[in-house]
Amino acid sequence: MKLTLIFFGIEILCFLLIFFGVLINEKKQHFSHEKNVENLEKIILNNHKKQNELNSKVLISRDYQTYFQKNMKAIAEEIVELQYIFMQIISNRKK
Amino acid sequence: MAKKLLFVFIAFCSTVHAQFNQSGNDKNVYDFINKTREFGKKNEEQSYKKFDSLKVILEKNKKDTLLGLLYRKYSDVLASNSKNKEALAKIEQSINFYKKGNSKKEEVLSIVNKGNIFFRSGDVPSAIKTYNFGRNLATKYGLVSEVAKFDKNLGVVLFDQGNIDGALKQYKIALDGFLKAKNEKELAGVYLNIGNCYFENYQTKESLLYYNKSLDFAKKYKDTVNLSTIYNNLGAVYIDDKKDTSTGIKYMTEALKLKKNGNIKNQLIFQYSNFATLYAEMKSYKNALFYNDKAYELAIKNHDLDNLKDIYENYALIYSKQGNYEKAFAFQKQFSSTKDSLLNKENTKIINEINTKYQTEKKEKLILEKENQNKKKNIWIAIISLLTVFSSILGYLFYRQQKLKNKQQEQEYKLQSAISQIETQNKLQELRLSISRDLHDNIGAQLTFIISSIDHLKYRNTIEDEKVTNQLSKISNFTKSTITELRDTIWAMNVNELTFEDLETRIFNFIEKAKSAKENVTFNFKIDESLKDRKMTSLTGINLYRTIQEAINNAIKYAEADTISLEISQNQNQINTKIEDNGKGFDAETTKKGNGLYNMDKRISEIGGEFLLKTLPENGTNIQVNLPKNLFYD
Repeated sequence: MKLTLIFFGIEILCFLLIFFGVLINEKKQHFSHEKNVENLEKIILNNHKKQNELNSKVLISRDYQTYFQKNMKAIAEEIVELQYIFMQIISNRKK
Repeated sequence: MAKKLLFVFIAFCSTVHAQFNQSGNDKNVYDFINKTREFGKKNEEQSYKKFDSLKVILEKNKKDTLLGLLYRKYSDVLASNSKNKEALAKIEQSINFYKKGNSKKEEVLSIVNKGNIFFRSGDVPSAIKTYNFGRNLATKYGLVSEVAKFDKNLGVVLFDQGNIDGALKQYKIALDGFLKAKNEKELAGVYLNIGNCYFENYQTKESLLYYNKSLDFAKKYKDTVNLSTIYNNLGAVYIDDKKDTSTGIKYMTEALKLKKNGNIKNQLIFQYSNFATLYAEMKSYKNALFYNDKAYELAIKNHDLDNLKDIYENYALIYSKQGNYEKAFAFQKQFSSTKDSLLNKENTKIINEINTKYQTEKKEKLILEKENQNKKKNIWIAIISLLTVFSSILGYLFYRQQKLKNKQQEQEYKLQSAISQIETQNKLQELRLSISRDLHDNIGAQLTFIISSIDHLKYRNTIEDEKVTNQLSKISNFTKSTITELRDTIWAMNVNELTFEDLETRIFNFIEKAKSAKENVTFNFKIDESLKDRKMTSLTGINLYRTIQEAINNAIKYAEADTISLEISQNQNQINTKIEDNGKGFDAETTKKGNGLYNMDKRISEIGGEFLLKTLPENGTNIQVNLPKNLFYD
């Protein structure tokens, strides 16, 4: 009887130990997860910021490309015009 | 002798019951039960039959209180006929019915009877246990008189065991209780018991005092049972202690009269026998023989061996004193044989009792063992059940923990995926930007080459043609503006964020260049000092800068303004940039928007701002750019 009761007590004690152990482990796991998520969110935020900056720069670059193409077209037209003037001068001299 | 007297008294005391408050049919049943109990004194078997038939009716009508009474009286009859086992079973039922009927006082009185049965059957420990239990219950119920009854009965037990002082103490406690409860009916009995204690201790004066007190109350309440005992005991005191035989005989005669009237046979035999002894001692052998004969007749009739033994002894004594040794010897022989037979009877009874006790104990042991086994079994079942419950709880906890872990890992994996996706995109953008930078460097070099080639051509120009010179200047200007634009682009691309101070410096440089190109134009440039440290993205900065640049270029080139004002300020929600000129202006409704205006509007809209244009012909132009404050940060 006494042994049974001791066994009974040990059983309850073991259960309580495992129970609290599992609960503590769960809490630890939860905290660790929260910390990980926080770090990952920070990284995402930084990357997002960097992405925005890069996007801005790409946009600036594209903007310049448009401008450059337009200007180069104008320069090309002016060069053609200059060539035409030169042609006129040369033909006038031949005459 | 006093002990015997006391025992007889106790046997009768136990039959005193509490008063009932009955009405109608219940009252009739109550009377019938009491009559049946009285009837049981004469005809035992018939009374059992009556009790049994009444029991059926009462059980059918569920009369718990009356059933309690019936079983108590039934038990009384059984106990008075020495059927103690059956009496105990009945009194137990009586207690249960009273408990069920919530009759607390009656329940307690039945417990008194139960104790009495134990005491009479010689089971003193059980009697004491029952009395103590009943006493506690009566105390709990607040029944003062009943508590005193238990005290009195405990005193009787102590007296029986020879503890006279203890009994006296207990009786006095009971006496206080009865006085407190004003229960005078019980006083005769308790005074008698106290008197007996003093008598046993040879305190004649005190015993007489208490016997007289008892006598007063017994007379007052016509308590014939106690009265006969009191007279008998008083007689004994006067004869034994005070040596006053005549007074003693007077009291004993009174006792005899009462016993004759009460028809209490065994007491009557005892009383006759007492008289015989008394007269034999007084050498009045005729009287002694007369009373001994009477006692003998009754004892033979009632098969009372116990008294018969004493009667034979009396005969032997009387005849030996008379010198009739033959008869004396014959009676002495009968006395011895009766004594032996009583002894045998008693021994058989004791052996039977011991055997019964042994069997009962054996059975009890077996029951106990079985109970223990069951208990063990139950404990094991409980342990296994608990183990199962614990395992289930722990299983659930582990499952939950695993599930949570998976969920968390999934969440972390999603975030990591998002990070790697963004990082990939960023790498791609960085690659694009790297290519762009290389291209810009290349373009810059080529543009510088074009400008230097045109300048060289200008200096070495042998063709003095205005058209050629103009054309060369045009190409040079286009190239210069392209390279300026490239420098601005590189400036914006080299930093991640710009401050208003950076922008101010850039605008100043631009104004200085514009001033050198158009000397008669006055520039007013003002920027809110508090804004200088505020930051913005390079895209916002370059778009604002190019808008300002375009507006100033338009003012110089098309509006022909001589005063151009630029002001950057802030209000509660916005940062405002105002570019004003006093040029010729235009009709915004009729004039088609050129590329310059369209681009300005587009740039500002793209970064989430507002572009406003106010102009009228010959009334200057006012351009306002409102940017929300959330585009800027510290």
